[in-house]
Amino acid sequence: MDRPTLDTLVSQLAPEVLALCVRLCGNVHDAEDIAQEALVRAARSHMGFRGDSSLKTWLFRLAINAFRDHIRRRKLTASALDADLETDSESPAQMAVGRETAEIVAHAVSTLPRRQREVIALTVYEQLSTREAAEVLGISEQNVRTTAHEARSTLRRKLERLLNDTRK
Amino acid sequence: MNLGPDQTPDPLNELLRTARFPAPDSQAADRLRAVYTSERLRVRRAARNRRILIGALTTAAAVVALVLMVRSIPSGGRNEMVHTDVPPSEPNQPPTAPIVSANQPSTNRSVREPSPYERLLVARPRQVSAPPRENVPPLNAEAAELMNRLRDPLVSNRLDAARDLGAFAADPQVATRLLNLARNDPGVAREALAALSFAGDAAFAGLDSDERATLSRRMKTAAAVLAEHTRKGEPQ
Repeated sequence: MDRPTLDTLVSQLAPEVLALCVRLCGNVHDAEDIAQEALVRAARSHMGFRGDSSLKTWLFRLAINAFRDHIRRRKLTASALDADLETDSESPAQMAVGRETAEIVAHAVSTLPRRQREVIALTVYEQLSTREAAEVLGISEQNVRTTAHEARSTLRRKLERLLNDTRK
Repeated sequence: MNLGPDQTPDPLNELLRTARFPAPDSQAADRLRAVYTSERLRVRRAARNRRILIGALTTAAAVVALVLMVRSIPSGGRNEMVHTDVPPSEPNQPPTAPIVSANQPSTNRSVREPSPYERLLVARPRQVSAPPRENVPPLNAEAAELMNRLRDPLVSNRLDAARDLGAFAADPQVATRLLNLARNDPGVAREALAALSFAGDAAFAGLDSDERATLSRRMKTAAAVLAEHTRKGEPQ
């Protein structure tokens, strides 16, 4: 792939990178910072893209790495996010009174532990296969499956009321 | 949408589909593209500057290598093309490099014209490493005879000649010749130094401090040898 084509494709994929970052962070400002960092890294290390994986996978990997660095810098550890959620006085049902279900679900996803959030964002929202998600995250496919299972259990617990309402 | 490994209908999947994350403003993607493009331009400029620098360094290295190569070519090759002046050298004197005169009229020039490369060689004469040869006036007869004895390999005991030559060593002409022998002729360096030890300050004329110190040390050693030789030669 020649460099001008690569530049064009990266520009086209920029919105998808931003969307992934929004799902990982849960807010637009941090997401834009992370996406910018990922694209700057892509611009600097474009020679590092050898075409072994798809361009989208490569960009997502850069975004995930930028996200992890961002968390490390801001000390927004997964446990802190969990603590925020646990100390949230509102139950999902109570929150539903004032907020739409869609926002509650997004909040629940964005406050998952970091690794679980990454797996859900990649497999559910970015529709990557287990193999592609494993490649992006640098873990085994089995690890992806296990983490996805844990993430779904966590989400079921957090969204129990809403799920019961849906069943009714 | 990927529904997970089991692919069975799951209310959780339905619920996850409905999630509405905060939406970036409409300019966000353009800002990202602008950041990417400007960074790519910066990286490209840096790479181009790096290439220019490497090219300049390579050229400089090639020029230096060419200059070293030209300087390392023996002067004999140039003598075929140009007239050379070889000054007469004394016996036991090291051969002196021929003086190449590029502008001298060519009376015995070879039939072919020199190539541009050969002209370059002539235009940049090689520095010869041999020490400069002083223009020394002739010696008086007795000193010349002693000097010949000193350098004659058939003379059995040249230390005697050195001792006798010590009487003339203060003469700058003799001192200069002895100095040349001490520098360039290992076979008689010790005898020349021993003779020079009689010369006093004349032995050090025109020397820098390093060479003066070295020579002084060697002269002391040679003088001690000569003194020992003289002591053994005296009748008991």
